[in-house]
Amino acid sequence: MTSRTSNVSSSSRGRDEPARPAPTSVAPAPPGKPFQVKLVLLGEAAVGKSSLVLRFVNNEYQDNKEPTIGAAFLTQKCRLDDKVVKFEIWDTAGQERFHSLAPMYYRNAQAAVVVYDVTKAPSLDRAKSWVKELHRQANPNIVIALVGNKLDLVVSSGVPRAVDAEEARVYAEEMGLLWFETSAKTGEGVSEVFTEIAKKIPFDLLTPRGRPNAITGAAGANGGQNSVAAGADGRVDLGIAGGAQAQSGCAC
Amino acid sequence: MHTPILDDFMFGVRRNLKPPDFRREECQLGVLTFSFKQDESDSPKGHSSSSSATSIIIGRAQLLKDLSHPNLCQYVEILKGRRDQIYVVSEHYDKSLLSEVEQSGPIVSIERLRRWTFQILCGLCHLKDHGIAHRNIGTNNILLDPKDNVKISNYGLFHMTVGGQEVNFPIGYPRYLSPELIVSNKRKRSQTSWKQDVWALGILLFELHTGRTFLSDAPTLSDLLTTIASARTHPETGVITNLTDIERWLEESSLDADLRQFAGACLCPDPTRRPDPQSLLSHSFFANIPPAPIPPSHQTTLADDVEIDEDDDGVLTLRFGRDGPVKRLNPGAPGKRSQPSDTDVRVVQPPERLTLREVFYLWKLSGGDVEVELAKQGLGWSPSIYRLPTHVRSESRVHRPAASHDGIKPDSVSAGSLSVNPRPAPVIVEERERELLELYSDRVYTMSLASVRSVLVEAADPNPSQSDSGGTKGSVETMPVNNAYFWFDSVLCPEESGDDVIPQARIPLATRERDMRYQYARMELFARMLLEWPTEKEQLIVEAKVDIPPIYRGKVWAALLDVEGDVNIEYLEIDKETETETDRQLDADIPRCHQYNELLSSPEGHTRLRRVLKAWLAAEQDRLVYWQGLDSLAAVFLSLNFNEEALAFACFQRFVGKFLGNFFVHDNSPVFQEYMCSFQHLLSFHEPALSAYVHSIGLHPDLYAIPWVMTLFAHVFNLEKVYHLYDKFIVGPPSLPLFFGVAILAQAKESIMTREFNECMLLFADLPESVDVDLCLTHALQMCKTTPNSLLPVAVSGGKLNSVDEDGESEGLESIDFLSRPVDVRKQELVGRVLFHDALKMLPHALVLDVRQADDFLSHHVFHSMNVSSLELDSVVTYLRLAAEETTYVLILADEDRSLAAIRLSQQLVSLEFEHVVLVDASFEILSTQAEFIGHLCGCECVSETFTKTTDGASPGDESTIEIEICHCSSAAPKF
Ligand SMILES: Nc1nc2c(ncn2[C@@H]2O[C@H](COP(=O)(O)OP(=O)(O)OP(=O)(O)O)[C@@H](O)[C@H]2O)c(=O)[nH]1
Ligand SMILES: [Mg+2]
Repeated sequence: MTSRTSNVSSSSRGRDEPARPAPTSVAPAPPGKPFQVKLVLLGEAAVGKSSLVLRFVNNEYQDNKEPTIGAAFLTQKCRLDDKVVKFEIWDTAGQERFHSLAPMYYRNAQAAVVVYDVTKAPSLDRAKSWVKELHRQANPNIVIALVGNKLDLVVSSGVPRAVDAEEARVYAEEMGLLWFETSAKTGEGVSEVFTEIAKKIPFDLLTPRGRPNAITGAAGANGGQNSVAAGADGRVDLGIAGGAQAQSGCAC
Repeated sequence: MHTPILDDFMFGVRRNLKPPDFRREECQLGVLTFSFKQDESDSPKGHSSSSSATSIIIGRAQLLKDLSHPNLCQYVEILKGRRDQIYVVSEHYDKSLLSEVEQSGPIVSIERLRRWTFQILCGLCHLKDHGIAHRNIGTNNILLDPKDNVKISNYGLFHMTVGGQEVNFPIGYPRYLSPELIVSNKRKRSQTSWKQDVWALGILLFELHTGRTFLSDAPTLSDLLTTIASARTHPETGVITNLTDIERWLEESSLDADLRQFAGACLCPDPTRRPDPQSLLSHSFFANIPPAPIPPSHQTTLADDVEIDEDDDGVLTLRFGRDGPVKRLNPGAPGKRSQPSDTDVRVVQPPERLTLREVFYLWKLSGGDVEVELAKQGLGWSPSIYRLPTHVRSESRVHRPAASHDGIKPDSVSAGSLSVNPRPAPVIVEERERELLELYSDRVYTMSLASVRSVLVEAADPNPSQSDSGGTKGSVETMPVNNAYFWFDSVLCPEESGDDVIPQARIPLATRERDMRYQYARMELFARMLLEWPTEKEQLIVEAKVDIPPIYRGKVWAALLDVEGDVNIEYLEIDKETETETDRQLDADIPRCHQYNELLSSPEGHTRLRRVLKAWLAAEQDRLVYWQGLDSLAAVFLSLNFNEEALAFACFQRFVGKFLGNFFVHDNSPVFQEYMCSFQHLLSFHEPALSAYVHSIGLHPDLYAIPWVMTLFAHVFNLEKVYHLYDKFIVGPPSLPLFFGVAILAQAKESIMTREFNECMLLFADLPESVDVDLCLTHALQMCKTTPNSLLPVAVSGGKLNSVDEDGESEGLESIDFLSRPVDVRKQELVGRVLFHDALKMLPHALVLDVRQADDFLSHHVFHSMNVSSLELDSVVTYLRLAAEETTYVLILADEDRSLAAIRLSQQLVSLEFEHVVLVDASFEILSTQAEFIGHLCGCECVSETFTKTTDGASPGDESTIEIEICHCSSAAPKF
């Protein structure tokens, strides 16, 4: 261990506030002051969530994309009129067993993309139950888009359609969701999903969005709050807020 | 010292030849290559279907590599070229039945014909046992070894191409086609039929005996086929009629009566009356031949074939499975030649017998490259040896070659399971056909193994002057010995290196794995140890910790994982077929699992992975369930033991048991939390600065480490990296993977600590490429050694308290054997807690910080401990740092009242980058009830020291100075 001076400057600290080092770097707010939007992707396994994100973020497509374990994180900026929106995308695992992790990703999300596969009827049922859960437990202002993916299969590969477009559209309308059909493979409809979401985000409610108390040590803050996923509470919240705090600091 | 002996790489010949024989060039590796239509007009779609055909073929070809029989040319490797063409590498000999006839005319020796025929049948029966029909028999495909033994070659083409469906050239030579095949429809034509092979054998005999090419006078291919198809069976005698050539031959008076009868049986046009290869073995034609080696009966297609070698002294060597144990039997006891029940998959062949596959592997290590080799021999970039001459329908209509079709469709093959072999007697064909015929060639490229041989001779005989092995070294072309490989000898003679330091550890693993001589030495060593397993288990572990020769990895892992007993039987008994709820998920995941790997991306690979996973699920009987990611893990073991599913399964099952115990239960969130909690505490313990930082930005392990711990990185890295990782995991403690995760973070420390949350998360996405597995492993092992077990999840700490010291007695500790707080509470703490027994062991090596009230401290305290009741740490940091430098650990003690203060102190210390900080879990009150603890207590008057602290005020210049007292046990004041 290297020896350091004992004359360390110390800011006065509340007795019950856990120790935390000063942030080492504070990212300067970019000139366009992008709005940060936390977006979560939900849906049955293999419907193409990761493929949609990959198309949106890198404009790439990969056959046989490997399954997502836990979740993956990506970001992408998107211009909308005078605003720049930066999506912080949490792409979750589709298998039902990972369900208990989902709340930590959708809590505090401003947007959700719920994906089904137009060639697999059960995937729409799964999507519907996600929508239900989001309505019940997520941020009340959350913007939800229902997306039927793998459109290319019914359009050009002759795979029979299993989810009627009209039926899905009507359902989406009833539930107040945006609705799209896409193909991550061809790219059809993908960027629209994200731009339309961006348009619907109530930015006035969001600014300023950094929560001053967001970064707290693990010892405080989360105990006893929602316990949908035991032990999963608030962890992503911490992270996102941490990223956002610098922004809000400048925005104020 | 054991001297490896390697002979001329021929199967069926005992390999005890002395070095000069290395230079005999009798057996070679032959390479045959074919490709799909690389059509000018190929759309991207066409391309993808040709690569899927390649993958189908490569998947199916795996079985062939395990076929081992004295009368079959061993398949060595089936490779995919850079342009999706296939290279088939196999044992090869220059002599063939064709070359014999060309050289010496008709074969008149009945004895020779009898022996050849018998050997061909033996080979065919062996193939049939594995569900394979040759369907490509011809005089040029039956090779002869130097002892005039039959070596059937190219027998796998029909099988690997799914009856020719996956390629657009026909398989089989027209003049050997049986009548029923010519008139049958396209689907039938691609069906496996052993009767076709029997007919072809009959024609073959005709050609050998007469020295003539059958139907060489047919003006066109259509005429040829029409002639064959017109053959009829005499309703009573079953004898062939309507095929003059054959009839005349069978009636020749000079023909040996037995041969006549035998050939007649083969050439019965009615397939239902034609015998199959098995029954022909007992034909009177072979009456004088000693009882045949009975081909084993195979219930499964797992690798359980038996190789039978007979050496010069007539001693038979049976080998069970490619790498099976060896049994030596005396001749004349054919009854014993059937497969014994105690097959043991672990055992590999004795080191003195390298298989061709091993030789090929060494050849590649020595720089051999099939494509380069073929290019040297004049093969351009677009090889297509088996180019299609033409397709002919049974109605004798000439078809356009399939090359004009789009993509590779099963029906493009339809028309033609027929082809023309132009070499012996080009059939006169129509103009268009002739043009195409020129594309056709049977050429087998041969590869020299001279460089491997010479190096191995040298390796086998490092001290020619002291040994009597012939001393021919000088005459052998040798490769210069690079001084860098000084360890080579020490590997061969471990007794000479009395040093504890493993010499080769200084050379990067990648270099070691590419060094042919080093690998050869390792192969010998491991082959011997595996053979003697489990006697040699200890040594095996020691050597495996150094490195594992990649070619034996599957077997070595199995031994290290204690795979025992007959895994095949166990595996066979498991229900892998019944549909379950999980199937849908499996079907979604398997086609996405490590698909860059040729084997795993093949349909065969999908089928096998599915079976292995279903077997595992069935075997775990709902105690454990399928979680996404498990497929990646199973794939690691399957890819290593592709032909030995049962072994793959057994290794997978044991590996999961050892490292992932209860991770795959229905609700794994408690286990999961336990791991994440542990991960955080380990990070704080070893990398305090990093831990404090990631904690401060909210980068919790749950966000990135789920695939790490759940799939043990099988989902994170590519297979090559995973193999190397598991090489070490398997011989390491079960906690090693966790430490490996910590080491990854430590390696990326600088990048992480200069990034915000989002950027860090993105950084993790790129981790697979940037992680240096070797470095992380070394670091992980170091951390392992200094970590108290209490910080580990119960599942991997094994309940054995051996991390602090080795003696680990833990009896009689009851309630203090478990951490007092539930995991979700501990998870909120940055710093981990240690149990009483770990604390006791750490005490002598620790700076003990006691946060109780000063009065309590004065009355009783641990020897050498220090009272830090004040939280104004800053002023005493230097002092504490110096004190901590003297010790290995920092232990924090508290009573019930001050437990929060202890937590805060621990977090402060971590933020201040103190390493190895832990909280003692039990309170002082509870500790004081333990006799062992009381022995550590002291009641001295203590010594106080005063420190000054400068506090920054609100503005510069507005500073104040505070005096702080620290009180420590007087029994041993830290000396500074
Ligand atoms: N034809 C077609 N295939 C697609 C499309 N999107 C995804 N796929 C394929 O569907 C499979 C699953 O895609 P993923 O993106 O991994 O699906 P996911 O929803 O992220 O799956 P999980 O991570 O397991 O939940 C992959 O083989 C993709 O190549 C699409 O738009 N069209
Ligand atoms: Mg995914």
